[in-house]
Amino acid sequence: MAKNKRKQKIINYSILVVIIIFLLQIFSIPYIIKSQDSDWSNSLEEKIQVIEFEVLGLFNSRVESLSETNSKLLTELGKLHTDSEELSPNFFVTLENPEFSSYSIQIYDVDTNLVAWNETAMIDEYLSNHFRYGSGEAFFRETGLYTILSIRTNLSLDSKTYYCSISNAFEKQYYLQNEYYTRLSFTEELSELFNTRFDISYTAQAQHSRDGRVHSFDLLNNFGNKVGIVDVQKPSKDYELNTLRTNLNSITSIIVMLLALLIYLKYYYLYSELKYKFLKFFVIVFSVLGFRSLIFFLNIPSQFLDNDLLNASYFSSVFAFGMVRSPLEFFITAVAFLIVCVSSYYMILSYLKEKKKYISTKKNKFQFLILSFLLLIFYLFLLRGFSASVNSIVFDSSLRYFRDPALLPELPAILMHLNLLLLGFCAVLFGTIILIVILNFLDRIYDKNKFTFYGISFFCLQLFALLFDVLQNNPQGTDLSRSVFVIFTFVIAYLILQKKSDGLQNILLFAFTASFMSINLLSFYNSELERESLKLTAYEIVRPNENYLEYTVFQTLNEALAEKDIPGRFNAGNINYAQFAFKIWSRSLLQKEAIPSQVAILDEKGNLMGKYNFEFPKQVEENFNFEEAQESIQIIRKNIGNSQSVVIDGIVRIYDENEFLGYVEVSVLFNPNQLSYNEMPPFLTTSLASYNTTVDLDKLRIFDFHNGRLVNSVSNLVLSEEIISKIIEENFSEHDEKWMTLELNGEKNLFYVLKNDFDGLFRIITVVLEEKNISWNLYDFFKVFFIQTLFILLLVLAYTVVFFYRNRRFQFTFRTQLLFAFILLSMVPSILLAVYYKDLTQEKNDSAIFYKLSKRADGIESYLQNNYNENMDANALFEKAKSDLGISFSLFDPDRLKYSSEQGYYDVGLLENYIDPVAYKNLSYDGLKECVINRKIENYEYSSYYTYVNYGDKKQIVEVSNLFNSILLPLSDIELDVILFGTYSLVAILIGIFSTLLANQISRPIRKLTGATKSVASGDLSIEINGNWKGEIKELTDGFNSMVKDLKRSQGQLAEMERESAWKEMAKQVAHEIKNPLTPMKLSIQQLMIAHDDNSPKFNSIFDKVTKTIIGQIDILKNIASEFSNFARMPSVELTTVDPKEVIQEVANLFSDEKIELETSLTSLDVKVKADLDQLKRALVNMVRNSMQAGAEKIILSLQDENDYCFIRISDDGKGIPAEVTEKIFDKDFTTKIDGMGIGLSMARRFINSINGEISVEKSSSAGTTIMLRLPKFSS
Amino acid sequence: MLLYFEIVILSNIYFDMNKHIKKYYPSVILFFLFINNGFVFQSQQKETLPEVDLNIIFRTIEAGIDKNDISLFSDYFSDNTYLSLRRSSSGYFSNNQVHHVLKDFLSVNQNISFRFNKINIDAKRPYGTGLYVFTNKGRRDSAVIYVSLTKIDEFWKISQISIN
Repeated sequence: MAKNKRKQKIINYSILVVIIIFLLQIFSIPYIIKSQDSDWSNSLEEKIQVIEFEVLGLFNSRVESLSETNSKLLTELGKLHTDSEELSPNFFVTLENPEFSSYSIQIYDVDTNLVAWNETAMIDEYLSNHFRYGSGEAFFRETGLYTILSIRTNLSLDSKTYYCSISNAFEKQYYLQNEYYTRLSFTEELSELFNTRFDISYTAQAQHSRDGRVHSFDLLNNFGNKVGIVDVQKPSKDYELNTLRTNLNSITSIIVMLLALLIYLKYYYLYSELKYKFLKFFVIVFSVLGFRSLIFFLNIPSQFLDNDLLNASYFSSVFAFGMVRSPLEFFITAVAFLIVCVSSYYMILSYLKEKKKYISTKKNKFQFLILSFLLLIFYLFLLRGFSASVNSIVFDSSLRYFRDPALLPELPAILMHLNLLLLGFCAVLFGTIILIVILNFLDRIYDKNKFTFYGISFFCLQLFALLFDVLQNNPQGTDLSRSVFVIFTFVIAYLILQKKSDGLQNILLFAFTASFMSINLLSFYNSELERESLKLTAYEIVRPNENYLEYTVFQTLNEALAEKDIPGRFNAGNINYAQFAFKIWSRSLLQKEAIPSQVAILDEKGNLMGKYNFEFPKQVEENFNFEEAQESIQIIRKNIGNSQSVVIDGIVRIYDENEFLGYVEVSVLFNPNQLSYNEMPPFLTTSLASYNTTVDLDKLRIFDFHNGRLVNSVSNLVLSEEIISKIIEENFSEHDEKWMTLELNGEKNLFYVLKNDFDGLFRIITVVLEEKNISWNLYDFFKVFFIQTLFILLLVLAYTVVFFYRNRRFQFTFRTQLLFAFILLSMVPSILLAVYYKDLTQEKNDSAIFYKLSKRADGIESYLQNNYNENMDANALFEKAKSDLGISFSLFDPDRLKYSSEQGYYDVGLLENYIDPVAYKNLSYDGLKECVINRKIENYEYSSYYTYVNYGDKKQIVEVSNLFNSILLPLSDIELDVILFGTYSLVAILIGIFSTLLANQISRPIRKLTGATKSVASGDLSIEINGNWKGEIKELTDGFNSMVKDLKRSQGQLAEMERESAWKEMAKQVAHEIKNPLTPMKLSIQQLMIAHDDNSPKFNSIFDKVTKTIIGQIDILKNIASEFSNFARMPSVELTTVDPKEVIQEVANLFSDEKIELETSLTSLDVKVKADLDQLKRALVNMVRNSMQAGAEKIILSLQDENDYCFIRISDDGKGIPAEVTEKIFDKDFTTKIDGMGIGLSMARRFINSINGEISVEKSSSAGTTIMLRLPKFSS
Repeated sequence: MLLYFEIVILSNIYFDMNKHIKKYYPSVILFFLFINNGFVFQSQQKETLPEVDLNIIFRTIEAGIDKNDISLFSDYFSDNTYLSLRRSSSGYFSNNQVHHVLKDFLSVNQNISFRFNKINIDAKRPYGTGLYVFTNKGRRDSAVIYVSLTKIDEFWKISQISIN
């Protein structure tokens, strides 16, 4: 009590302190803002100095790091021998050191020829230009796509001079919108860090900005020379003040939340004193939902976190006023609902334990019926709501739960899996609670056989659920999910009501049911989404129109004009303008949307300086419109010949101040006859793949009809005339679309057909997918199930920790130990097998790749050998080889690129013009004839095969890779991961199930023995363990039964002997005691007789004396009799204050393993009696045992109180007591049992009577017997 | 009301101590009325107004973007709206998602000025384009916005929003 009061005091003080802080904060915010405002110019100066200092610090640390690595490199190189024939390979070996892998390193000879390079090479094509920098001096250089910091060092190895160049990238000039691209930009890094705009000129010639809003400072290298200029936009006062205000408001939000928590804590003590459980539940619900709303309106945690967990594109819904607007908000709301559901569950459980005896009347029956019906409707709406929520999880999310190949997905996906599980848990838990209440109500109304009652209830429930779905316009879920939900919740409700299951077992039941249900629904709605994706594919094909393409052109040019360095590019010499054009293209919508397009850079005379072409038709790629150009962006449209294709050109003049430099022209092709679906290398993929991640694009077939004629298709199938006519001629809906299911090559296919009229052209787009690709997949199911099982295991762990905390001991039963042992023994070899299989498959895949690429390379060599001619143009031959063989390849001679069928990627700098260094070393120095190297572009991994090809007098190295050549593997790494994942998840589940069953089976006799031992310890010697066991277990149980029988017999014999001995002793004592008074009595009588015979004058006095003597001795005899009677009473009782509820509960627990249904019905009030605990328990055990022996299947132990008494009733449905013996059953030595001793009930009655109670048979018939004990209540 | 009705009956039957529970009825009633009146179960989606004047629709969208108030034009989102956002999400989103994705984007890239400088209502898919000038963490920048509409069930809906 004192402890509670102290806690209350602390909380009260804390609340006061927090309120004071809150008020101080609220009133001080305007002053802080005002003070910042008035002192702005000083603080701005300070901020700028700090920014400059920190930026220079960051830059210098990178320079130092580069310099240190350079020193290490020189040291390593210096250790090499100077035999030039060995040096080159040794250079390569040195450069392979992982310590240098994040730097680009090249070694040149004295003639600036490249001698060695490493994998991340950014070759310096203009090395000699950089000799103006000293050896070891850091400087910036451009490679076209990168701005890099380099250090060139002269390296002398005895008599030879080498140049060593080590570089680190600062800026990636291009930008790709896909999953493989990694952004690299020192400028953006600084902008993010300091929340202001940075522009860096990486040239010593750059000048400070004259804009007053910008602060400029020099970048100096390790030699103190200027290498660049940093322009930083001075922080804006408004933005800084807004940021400060936002930060202060965030602090206010935290204080308010803290205050709310303290208030909840304060009122927790009031809550714990509430008497009625329903009120407690109401308080919990109100508190939890109120707190959730509070933190939502305070914008917690959104204002503190900025990561993908709050990204609405992963999941978002407007439901509940936005409280599920991101994965994290969803999680918080789900946890709040979980707390409410768990509170309801425990409230119901505790109500069930304290069930009162209920008297059924007509009025109550009607009320219960109505209530049950209303609750049933609520249950069905709950199921509908659950299904609709899963629908939202699928359709309002960009996550593709079944397509993510990663074993453990990204954080937003993991959180959504958890949210799905929580949602399912709440639905199953709440549904079960409702069913428990309904069944409990109905049980009161209908007094039927349990089996019949539950059977009829289950059937009615399924029927109502079916009817509910039939009556709806748009039912949610499937018939299967509805039925399964009803089955599971019904079974769990039954187990709780009848089998009194609780604790961890129930939690696991709910959790696994929730998991199964949620994944089942997820799978269903995912298939719906997959069907929907056909529609989206069609939409995407028709989405680009001329107007939109015009917008993309305008946007690209607008973006280019905004780039500060565009004029500088025109002025600089030695620029690769193709790279320049690629940079403009990569940052624009043209790349994002994979639009056939071209970006061209023209000089002031309109001559082409460089261009980047993506799928733009060659016949118009050089048709420039520079005459139309002006200072602002001009858009020109031109038709191509007589076709419906239109080229949309955008062109703008580029000026540097007033000097005209040239043009940038952007062209896109709009071709209504072409499907806007372009095959791109994976590292460039964007639009079409990114939106439609629901199905594999490889599995889709697309057909494009114009005016009834097939003009275009993406498919390896041919449509029959019949199918074509169905597509074209059958009616479309009012939305110009239709769905069809038709057979293609014996497989059912789903067709989505969209009609799209375009300028008189009647166009039909058909997207087709095989039905089997939409079907439910076992691997998909187990993939999600595995992740949810991990969460459930965490829950079990948490439960175990809480249990340990409360009980200070781990309770690992024999069954649990067995279970863990089985699981461990089964899972370890399974995991080892999985790892082995994965390795084996990967090896096979590697071999397959090697084989297929080598075959292609052989094909190229043969072709070149057969077709090479000294007089012919080599490039033309190579192009023909590519075209005829359909193989993309590159040729290196020996280290430099000579030809590539994908030249564009080399021209723009995405691929290096030099051969992979490891391949070069393997083939040139290590004597290998061929090799496969695993390479990477951005983060996309691929394999390249290298070998020598000989044709004519030429010997070159050919590279064939799966970057541009599609290699089909029987099982890709990703597919393998998914299959292994799914298979071994299934294995894990089966192992779990079988281990549980086995552990149960093996431990069952032990558990029975344990229960029986406890019963024997409580004095019940009638117990017997029955079971169909064999071997040692059978011997053990037989031995136990035999031991108990012997014990019982011995006890009986002992009791008999003791009784006999006691009787003998008593008889001896009685005889002995009686003898004493009898002797004087005899003597006195004899004396009287003598006096009478002698007619003694003293006869009268002798008579008086004798009679007095005899009477005295008779009194002595009477005393002796009383003493012995008192002694013969029952053993003394030890009276204590006993809670009959606990006694009844203990007795019920003793019979928990028996094959009877034992219920308790206890009053809610606190009742105490004065009795001997052991004897009371023994009496009840004896009566329960009697009921069982009378053939009862159900026994009810109930406790009620009335006025000054409490009534314990033992009711059974046994064969009853014959009327003629009802009066005698409490008599000593009376028994109707063959082996009975007839003392149990008589002892019970004697005991009950001794504590002023009464025991009687309340009723008895062939339907059962009720024995009533009436005990006086004890009040302190 | 269903729940409220249930709780009242439940209270009458569940506990035989009615006189003790009656004083809590008002709180119970208030709580469930609060819940049933849509705090938890009500969606924010309203019925789309059958606006037919395309110019008005575009001006509404313009006002919504200008004031960073998505709700002004959220009625016009279709079930699958294509969103393409600068250095951000791109793809088809449900109308629930579009609301929040766009809202989050516009709250980070805060509007300085926006106007449609070209609206074409005669095209088969009416569209508007305009320059969006904004600040992002104090840095000023600009993007071009493209919005196109399509007719679904006699109502005009936004088919595509591009901010790049």
